[in-house]
Amino acid sequence: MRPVFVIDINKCVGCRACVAACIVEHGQPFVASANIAAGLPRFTNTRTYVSWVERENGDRPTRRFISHLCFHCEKTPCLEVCPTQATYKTPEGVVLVDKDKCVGCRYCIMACPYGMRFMPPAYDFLKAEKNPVVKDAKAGTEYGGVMFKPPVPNKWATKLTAVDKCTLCYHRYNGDGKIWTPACVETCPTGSRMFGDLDDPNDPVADLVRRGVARHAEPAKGTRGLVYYVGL
Amino acid sequence: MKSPAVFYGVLILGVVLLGIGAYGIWEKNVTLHTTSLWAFMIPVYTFFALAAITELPVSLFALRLVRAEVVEVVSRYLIALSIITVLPAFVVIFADLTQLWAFPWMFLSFNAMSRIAWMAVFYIIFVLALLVKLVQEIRGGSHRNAFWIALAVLIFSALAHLNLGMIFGSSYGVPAWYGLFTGVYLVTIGIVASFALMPLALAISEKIRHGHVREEVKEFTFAIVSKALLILIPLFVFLTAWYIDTSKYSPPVYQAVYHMVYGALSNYFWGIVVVLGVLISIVLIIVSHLRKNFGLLSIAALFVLAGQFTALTLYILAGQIGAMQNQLSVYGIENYDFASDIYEFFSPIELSALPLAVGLWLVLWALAVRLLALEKEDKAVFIFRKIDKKQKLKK
Repeated sequence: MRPVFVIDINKCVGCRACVAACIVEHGQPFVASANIAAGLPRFTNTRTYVSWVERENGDRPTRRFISHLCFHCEKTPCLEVCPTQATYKTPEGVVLVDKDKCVGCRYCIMACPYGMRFMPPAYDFLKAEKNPVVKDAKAGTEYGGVMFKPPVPNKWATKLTAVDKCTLCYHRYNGDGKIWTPACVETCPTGSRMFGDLDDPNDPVADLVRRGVARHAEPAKGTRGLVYYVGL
Repeated sequence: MKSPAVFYGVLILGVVLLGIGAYGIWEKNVTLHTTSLWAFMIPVYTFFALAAITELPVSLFALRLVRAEVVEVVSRYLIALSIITVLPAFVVIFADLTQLWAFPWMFLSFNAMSRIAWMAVFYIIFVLALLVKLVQEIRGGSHRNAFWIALAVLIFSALAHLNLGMIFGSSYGVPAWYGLFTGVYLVTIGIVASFALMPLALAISEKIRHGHVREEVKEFTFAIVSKALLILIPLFVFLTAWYIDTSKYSPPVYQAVYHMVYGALSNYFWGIVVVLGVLISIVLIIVSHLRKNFGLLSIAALFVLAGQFTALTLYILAGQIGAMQNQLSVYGIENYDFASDIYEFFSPIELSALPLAVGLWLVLWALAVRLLALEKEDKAVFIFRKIDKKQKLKK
């Protein structure tokens, strides 16, 4: 089984249900921001986010939404630099972080060419916790101090003192060789996010990759990986 | 000023700064403050680690690469200074980590591809080699042993410092740092800072031990330090100009240089790095060298340290801004305001690393000067000074 993640940006409407689903699934701290730049590409604050690009199109400006997540690179710069081997790769090619081994040096954040690794904004969360509105919504703070308790406790859930990244919801894989469905793919209303198995000849998602319709985002960087884009 | 007053004055200042820094670190742990950026703590620990090359004249002299018997007067001081300067770096690194308890995994689950893992190994061996060198200097011994120990110190110093520079130089996610240039540039900053640190540290040690700066020590600084600085500062200027000029070939590097030289960071670059750290310093060094004025040289050395530290800080900050701006440009977003990122880099909690490191350095250096057998006339128990009670009563 070789998982592959395809994002069709022609179908993305920018609803960010994927971001919300990911946050709930993994127990990430979530702090609403009045800063419109919060969704812009930089060192990310969430495991996945959606940015937008506005383009002139005659007299009708258009906006395209682009989903970002860890590419689970084949050539893995973050894995190479981690001093404790907290960052590791599963046999399926999914790059994960062992939260107990991570020292928090953030070398992997510097190494990632796509800015998709981050430290959970714990400081912001603890400040937000004092806000009365936020306090009322608080639940399950016993688990690492996060606001939401993950529905499925797993060792790759967000931990406030360790580096975080997309895990492709690997905790949903039960080791039987069958493809699973990440939370963001399950939630996406337009089918922009798709997840397939390259080893399955009948998989329509994998077919997009095999036919060359879906491609890597920045091939010049040479890292390849499990994530492909249609329409980029 | 009498030497005990200087000793207690330096000690008290060190303890006060240490207290301020320690409070900041405590605040960091209580609030779980951390950054995705490599913020101000990183240039603080990098600078102290890089500036621990003060043993260089001693090693070069032992290897017969430099003929300067004036080094022998201060050789033990310079070796001890290397050890003392690198220790605050370790403390600040530990303060920066968010899960310090996972540190043993760095050895239990060693990643041979990780330069940070090798940094721990090389610096531990470097400090051990310095301790061996210090013991050898104090106990005396054959020149052959001195040669091999000096060679070992030099090799591990080169490995440790180049590797530290290449931690940044192998960061694929920050193109403005990526490449061999960063290793060379950071080591150059380290060597310049090491030579600048010598007259300041020796001024403190001479005042504590003797109440004044001895002529032999002044002779060393004008024979070695001022000349070295007059060669190294232009080298630093050349490398900085090289970085700025070649930035036009790489968009993310250009973004980094733009912020440093023309943007929000330009006042610090031109004011502290160029004017204070280079222009004024060179003038003061030349004048002090011609007039053999140790006080003026010490002031110049302080300016050089400020300039080098600022250069390192701006290099680290601007590189990350450049990486972010470049990524934004890919998506058509130009002129993004990085004020919040700059604030995050210089937040009060991050800034507390500097008084922590400086305070610890002052405390350790004052104690080292007082307790270690750093002069040829000192009688030693291992490396500690055996204080003659009769001499103490006389004083």
